[in-house]
Amino acid sequence: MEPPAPPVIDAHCHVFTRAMPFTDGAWIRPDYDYAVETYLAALDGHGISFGVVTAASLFGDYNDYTLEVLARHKRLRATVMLDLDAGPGEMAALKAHGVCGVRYQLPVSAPLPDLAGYAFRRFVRRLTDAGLHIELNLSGAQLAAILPALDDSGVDVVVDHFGLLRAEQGMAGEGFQAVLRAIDRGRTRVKLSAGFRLPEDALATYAARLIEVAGPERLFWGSDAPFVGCEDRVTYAQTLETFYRIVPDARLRRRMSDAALRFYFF
Amino acid sequence: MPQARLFDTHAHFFTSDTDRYPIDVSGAREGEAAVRARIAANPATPASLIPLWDRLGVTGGAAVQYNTVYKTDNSYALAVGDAHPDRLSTVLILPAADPATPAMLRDLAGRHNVVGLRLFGYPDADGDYPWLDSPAALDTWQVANELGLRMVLMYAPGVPSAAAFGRIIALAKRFPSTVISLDHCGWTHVDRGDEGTIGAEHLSLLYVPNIRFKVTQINFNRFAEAGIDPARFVRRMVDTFGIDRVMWGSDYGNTKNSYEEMVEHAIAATSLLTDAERTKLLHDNGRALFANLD
Repeated sequence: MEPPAPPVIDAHCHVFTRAMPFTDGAWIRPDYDYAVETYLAALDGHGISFGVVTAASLFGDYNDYTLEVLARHKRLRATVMLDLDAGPGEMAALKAHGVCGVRYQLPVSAPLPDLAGYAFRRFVRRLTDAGLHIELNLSGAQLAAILPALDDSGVDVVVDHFGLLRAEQGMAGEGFQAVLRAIDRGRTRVKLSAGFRLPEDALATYAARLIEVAGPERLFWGSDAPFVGCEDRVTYAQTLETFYRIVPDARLRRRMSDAALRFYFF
Repeated sequence: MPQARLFDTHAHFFTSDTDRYPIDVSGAREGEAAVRARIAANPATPASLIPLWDRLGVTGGAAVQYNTVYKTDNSYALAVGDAHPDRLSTVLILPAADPATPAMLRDLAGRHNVVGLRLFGYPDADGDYPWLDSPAALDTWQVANELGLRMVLMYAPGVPSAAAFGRIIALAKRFPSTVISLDHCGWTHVDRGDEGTIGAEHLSLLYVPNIRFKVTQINFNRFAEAGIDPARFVRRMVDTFGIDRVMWGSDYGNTKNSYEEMVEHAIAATSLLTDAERTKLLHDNGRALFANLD
């Protein structure tokens, strides 16, 4: 039997080197390099053309390596972390450099900013103006609060890791329910990524529910390489196998992959 | 046949994967049905070409946007250049006079592996080519100049035009640091033997060093019909314009010869050059202009 066709794009990975500074609150401190060359070799080894480097919480807004990598490798796009005070000039320059969005992530226990306040609304408006999306890596409660607040802003939203990574009560929780409602309103996409951090047996059900609501055009697959914290129990090939298992219909996978290519590259 | 390394400044790519990369074949000269059939049966992709390159000694090339199949949707040419940066860079086609083009060019060149911009057009009712340098087009030229991109020009029909060259010379002088490359040598005469290939129109380009010439399989095929010896033509081009201003491109994806045959014809056409000249014309000159090297 022919092996399944790989996706054309991996919408979620991290690259870093040991020289990069960890934030004071970094949840883990990898003691190895995952240089872009290693990542690209993984893509090439699995027949994947394009990749999206996602800002890792560990390094805060130290986006320097990501930006350097984007300048050298046009087959990559990225999200970065930005301060809420970032100005339009900085955002426009990032966009021109190959940055597609800003990753917004907070510790589970951290309070959200005043979502109706000026600073947050200005930030989101500037993202919209710059053509950048906002990528949410938040808990269920945080998602439930922030998604409705983003709804009238016109900003494109990408929710990480099935919308379930830090959600209590799984699909019944308020976060996932908010994600489903946001998808329905039209500007929200969800990444089927980091499945290895979620209950393995439930992944197919999660994927089926998301496909039912979002359709393949608003779901993106991502490997989450190099599987920080789980390096010894996940391989790149396994993340693909998981994808093929939980979305067994090759046509759906194909539509997801093409939609991600359009969203991040063209 | 001498051994040679080559760099292909003129390869067109298209894929049968028309869901991922939608096509627009309207107005195709060979007929829309024929071009659709060609796309389905015989796509021109890096997966088919790069192994041939490895075998035939082609170190890299330019993915030149293919108007016949994609018009000005450059997605596939960009994807090809982005995904194979060690072998390929992209030459876009955008409408020069569209007010949106300067910003679009800046955006695409910033985020993708773009090395040049190609303009294509027909003459107006007076046989002139105002689209080359209309005020709106000049804004696009300005951005290309600023970004250090190559300009690649092709005009129709395939006969040398003093009107086009006049405008191109003015552009070359206005943007002296921008290299302007003329597809298919800017068309030569084919009805006057090899002595007549380079006429007065071409001689007007003599002292404009940033105008360069791509000699391609289209030239060779036209010469074959007219009984002109391509080797004598290439020698004449080099003697006229100097070895640094002439380079090779295959026209892969458009001209129907096999790639092996195009490489064979290219090498044969350099038989009256020295080894050093051959290396420059077949490889070094093109690579210096159309490889986006770090």
